Amino acid sequence: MLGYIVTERSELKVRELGTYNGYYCGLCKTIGRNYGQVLRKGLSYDMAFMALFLASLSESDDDIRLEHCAMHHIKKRPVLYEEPALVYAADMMMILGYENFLDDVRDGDKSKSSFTGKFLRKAYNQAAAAHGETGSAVRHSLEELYRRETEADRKIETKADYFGQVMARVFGDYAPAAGQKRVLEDFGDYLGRWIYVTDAMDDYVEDAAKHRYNPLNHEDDSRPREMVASGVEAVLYYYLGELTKAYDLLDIKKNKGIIDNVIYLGLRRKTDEVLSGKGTKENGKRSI
Amino acid sequence: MVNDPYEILGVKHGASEAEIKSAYRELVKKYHPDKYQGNPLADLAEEKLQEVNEAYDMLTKGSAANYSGPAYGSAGGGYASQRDYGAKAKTYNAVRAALDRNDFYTAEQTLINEADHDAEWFFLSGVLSFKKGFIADGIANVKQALDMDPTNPEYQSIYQQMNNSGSIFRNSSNAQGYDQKGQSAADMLACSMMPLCCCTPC
Repeated sequence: MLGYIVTERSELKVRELGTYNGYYCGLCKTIGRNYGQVLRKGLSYDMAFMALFLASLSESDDDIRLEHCAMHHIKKRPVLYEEPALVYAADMMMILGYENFLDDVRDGDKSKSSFTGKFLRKAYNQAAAAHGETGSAVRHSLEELYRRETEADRKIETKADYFGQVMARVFGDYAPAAGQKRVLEDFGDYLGRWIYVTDAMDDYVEDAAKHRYNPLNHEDDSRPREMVASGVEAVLYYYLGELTKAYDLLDIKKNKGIIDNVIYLGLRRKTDEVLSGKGTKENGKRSI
Repeated sequence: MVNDPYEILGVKHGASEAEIKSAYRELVKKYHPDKYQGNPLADLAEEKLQEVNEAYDMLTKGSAANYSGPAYGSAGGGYASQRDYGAKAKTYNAVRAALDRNDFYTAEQTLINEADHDAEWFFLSGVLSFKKGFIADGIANVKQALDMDPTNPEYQSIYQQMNNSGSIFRNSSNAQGYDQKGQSAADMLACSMMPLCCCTPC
């Protein structure tokens, strides 16, 4: 489910790219500090975006400092400091990451090492202790989702709704922005649904070839990709429309340019790529 | 209201009347009640709209209270209408009444029992699906109805409304400079492929 929240790189100002990377590096450092070095490799731009998004609701200026980095040791890199949104994003990463790990193990994915699993479980317990209600709500919604995925329910929207519930909690439970909780939940809800359906569409061809489960693939169904995509297009754009309606009601104090770029350009670009079959998985290219 | 009206409208102090008016219109479009009809956040949108109206009032000393701006499609009134279905009148009017009170079960059962799938059947099935949250089926069924009866204004209007959310998004995206032809040459640069490039400040 990662790699879908991206910028339209060519439209970002250079200073905006610097800020975005500052959040990315800041998140990496926060994970290292709070959860240890091993789990830093699970870092993604998606979670960095969430940190930036939630932090944008606060007036305080971004405190970006130049720091050394273990991975990129040639030059010092800009790193964001002292930001509660980074701590929160790191916590959510551990909760979602562990749930994802459990899902892969349940699906019989032998490539998941139990070494990482051990670290993830420990990290999960730590994060869930700090966010008890969020953790159990996420667990509950995912269980409902997995149940629907094993039933013969043909509707993608029903399943997407459950993943929407997960992201609604993840976004809405950010305490420093409690005053805008309702809007954040609505935003997270539709973003989550969009992620779920985009991911399903992106995996459709490969899953069908390998006879793996895909929420868009109905039993005895061998519909060509284009046909599935044409049905999914309206749903994805509907979700995008709804999440922007929520976004419009948020009081964004900083970094709006970056967020606008991701929502209006990046998400649309990703949607069009996945619908036309040029998604990240098929090209093997990693996106930002 | 203690907040700065210029800030609320997003214009600089000393902005011209034309600039204020233009900013005001954009915000009315953004928080328009038609856009948020049926949306759980409608009350928040209304608050924002009120704030915007008050700010505009303060700056222009004119009466902005009656300006409602362009409506997004028709406000979604009820589905119960004076349709003459002939023999199927009772059935379809019953479905429409059920849809109006969100009685999905009755609507569904009535439609299931109707063997003849004409344009109206597809239309009402589509409306039911959409209301239940099944976007894909909803739009597909209403489209089918429209294919069977292309000049029907109600089908056209509802189809447009269902696609509205996506259309609004596309328009905003285009306004932000989305280029449908694909990404520019800049994205082919090596630094676009790597997460953190090696070049100086970034």
